[in-house]
Amino acid sequence: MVRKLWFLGFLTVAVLASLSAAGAVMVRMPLDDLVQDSAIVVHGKVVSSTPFRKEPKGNIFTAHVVEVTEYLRGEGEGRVRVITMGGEMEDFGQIVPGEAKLAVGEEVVLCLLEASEHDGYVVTGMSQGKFRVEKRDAGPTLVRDYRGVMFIGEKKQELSPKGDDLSFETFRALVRSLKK
Amino acid sequence: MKQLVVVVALAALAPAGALAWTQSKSSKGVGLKWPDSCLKVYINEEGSDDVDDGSDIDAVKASLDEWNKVECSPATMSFAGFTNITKTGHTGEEPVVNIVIWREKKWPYTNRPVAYTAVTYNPASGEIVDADIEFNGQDFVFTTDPIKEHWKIDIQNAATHELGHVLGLDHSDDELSTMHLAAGPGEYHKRSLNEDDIEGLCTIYPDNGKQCVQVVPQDVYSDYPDTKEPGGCAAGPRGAAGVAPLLLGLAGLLAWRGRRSSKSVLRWRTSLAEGHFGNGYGARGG
Repeated sequence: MVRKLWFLGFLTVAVLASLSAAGAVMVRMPLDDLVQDSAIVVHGKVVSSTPFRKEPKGNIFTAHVVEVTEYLRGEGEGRVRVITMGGEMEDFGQIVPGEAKLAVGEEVVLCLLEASEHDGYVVTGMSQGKFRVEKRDAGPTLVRDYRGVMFIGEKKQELSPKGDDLSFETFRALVRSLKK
Repeated sequence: MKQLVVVVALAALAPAGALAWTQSKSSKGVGLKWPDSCLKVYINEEGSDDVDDGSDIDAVKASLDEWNKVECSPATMSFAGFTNITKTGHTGEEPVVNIVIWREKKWPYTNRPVAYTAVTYNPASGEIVDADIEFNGQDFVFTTDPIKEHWKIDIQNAATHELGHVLGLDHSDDELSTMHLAAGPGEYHKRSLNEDDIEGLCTIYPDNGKQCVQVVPQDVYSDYPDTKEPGGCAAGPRGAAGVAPLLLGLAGLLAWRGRRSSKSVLRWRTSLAEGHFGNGYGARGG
């Protein structure tokens, strides 16, 4: 009887685990790709956010100014201009689910690509490339908000296990190891 | 055998996750929703370059139907016809045209996801005024047969997800929901809504007894030829809209009608006269 119960329990766990795994298949940019694809990786604070349209009838974007405290990858000036899609003008707002959301006053680590369509940078992989820095007992921790990211990656996509929060030091070490 | 049945039943009853849907919000935290739950959606006439048997269009229509068949909500997204409009977004000046479009070349953004959905809304009220879906046909290959071509992106899978954004839904933590945040090539389970998606839709648009009038597809064609590529710079002045663009537009219209056998075409003469569609609207060839 006991053996039967053990078997029953094992079988239940196995079936539940398989269901969970089937639904947890995710596609995302691995951290090293995220870093290597970026022109610069910065640590800093968002000091301003200004929505704008490139043309009178165009889509809405927001230009953020980030005061850089450290270039983890690449180099540059003390402030960088980061453009995100969407924003709120007086008349209309626009939202693009999946785009990185930056808030004034927020301490962030950003993986950035030189923008082809703007003067400035865009966040690599949309919200995948934005890390909010949280002060925790264990030390500064990088936290990502994946809401909105979908279908990220190129044709040859890689699967990687889910795992978000990581220590700032771990990330810094990773970036250093990937330096050319 | 009985034990196995019990195990399977237990597994089936186990929730994949609590109801986890979320609603898109304005910066002030106002939930986004359409003021009128009867929406019209147009599909750009070009469809996807990867599918040449018309099943790309059928896949988008099937995605619309998947949301429309939810019984506890009056929200209805009707296929309203084809269009040659390529511009996304809304400024309040032109008639609202929610479009689904594949961009097969010159993807206009630095980031290169499979699809973007831009939802435009009134910041004060949270009322959505326009929503457009852009598929990245330049970097990704699409299919309507994900079982046979599992390395490609299933159109119906992606479109059903993106149409959830059109309705004001944001992403869900429920890994089995259509509105879950991730999908890979060949995935197609998002074609079907799960209880989390349905709960979200019916909460945002609760049943009010209203039924939408059946929409007879009426194609929308802008007479102006393209003066610019998406995201690029204007190649010609708006004032150049004279006889030549009209002839070009007419030629494009004839060729296009031949391809899609559309029932009717709505031409925005008023807008043409007022010159509203000088930039970014126009024929992409028929």
